Amino acid sequence: MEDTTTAKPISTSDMQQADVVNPHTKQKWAYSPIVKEHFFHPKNLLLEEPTEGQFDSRGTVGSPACGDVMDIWIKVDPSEDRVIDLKWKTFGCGSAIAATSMFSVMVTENGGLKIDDALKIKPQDIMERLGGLPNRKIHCSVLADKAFRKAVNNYFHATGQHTRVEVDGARVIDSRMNITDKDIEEAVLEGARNLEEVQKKLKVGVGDPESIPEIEQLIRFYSEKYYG
Amino acid sequence: MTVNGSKIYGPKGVGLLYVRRGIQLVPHIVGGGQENRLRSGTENVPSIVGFARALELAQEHAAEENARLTELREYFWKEIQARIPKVVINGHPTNRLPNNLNFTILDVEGEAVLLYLDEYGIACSTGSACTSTSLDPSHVILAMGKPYEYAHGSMRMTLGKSTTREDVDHVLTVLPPVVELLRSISPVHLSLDQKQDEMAARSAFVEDGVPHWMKK
Repeated sequence: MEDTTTAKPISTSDMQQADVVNPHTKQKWAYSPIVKEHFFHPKNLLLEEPTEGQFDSRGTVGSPACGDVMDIWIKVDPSEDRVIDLKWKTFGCGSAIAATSMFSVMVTENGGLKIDDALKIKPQDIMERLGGLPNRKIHCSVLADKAFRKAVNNYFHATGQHTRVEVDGARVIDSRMNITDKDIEEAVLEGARNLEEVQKKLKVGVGDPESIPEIEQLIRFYSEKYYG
Repeated sequence: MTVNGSKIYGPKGVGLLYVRRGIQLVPHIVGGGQENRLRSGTENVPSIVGFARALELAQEHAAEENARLTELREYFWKEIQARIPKVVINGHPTNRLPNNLNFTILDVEGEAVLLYLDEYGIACSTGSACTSTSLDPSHVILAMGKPYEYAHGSMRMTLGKSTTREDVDHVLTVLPPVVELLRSISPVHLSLDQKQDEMAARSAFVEDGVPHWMKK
């Protein structure tokens, strides 16, 4: 049997370069050549059980029911506060695999980033390096970011640097519906860009009009963060 | 009941509507009263002729083609089960369309499998959330009482007039290593006899344990 575990090299014929664009929504469907390269040949995968001391900490986000699980392991050089190794595993779609592969390269290339700099990597930085992702797949690249944040927090806890731990706690915005800033972030990631669209998804601010200015501010903030 | 022309190798953009005697329908288009006053407008004769011929051909070959596809599908499913661990058929094993095979591969995400198969010239579809515009998993698989985990890893392979045993064998060569590869990078390890409520743990979803696509 021929070896089918490694994909054949991708030809760059016109057919493969062609993108399918929805004329109404301008939504793109095809993946860029860089995305394909990282999908078919992901970098920094953890394929074997880690050995004792190989990594300093681990962060896991998502659940198989939601369709995404991301698991990230990191090794830190404490003298320089640098991430010298990052390995990952995922149960996720093509974009999640490609985005995490690219994220792992960005964190560890050139001897590794300092923790504080690695934490500054935004989803759109990953997308820029990937040559773009279809808009509705952006939330896939956020997973790497979130799992990494968790791994770093676990590292801070393990090394007694408790003051450096940053937790994104959910804050209730609409007290009637008990909707938090996390829900609004989620809605923006799913494609809502203005109050009307967010309200279609969440009914936020309907029973609590006083929360609307803050909701609008959050929509702007998250739109800027993920699509800006 | 409607029948779509392009589903039976007929022209696209033409179909038929079967209406039981006594059923009153509101016209779809009003005007000249064509098509029993239900859909006014000049009839598209070439499409109608083409569709009628496609129906004739389908009828002519129905029995032999159904038998051929049923046998091919059963071979396909038997071999998938033999070559890939942890696969489950969605729907009834025999009471189904002869050309349809819908199954779930545990621990892998459907879209990733799809992208690999596409690279090998195999076209199929998945109930994974990642391939739907709404990012929700297949409501059909969910409605059959399967857990979310099953919907995300479900694959639909349909056979057609031109599908041969060689085509099925090609998929059977390509699919197992792809699944093995994706399982090797997956942190998820579900088991077939795991209970559904254990799987979609309430803690998997924020707030009341309700997934975001079911919140109204």
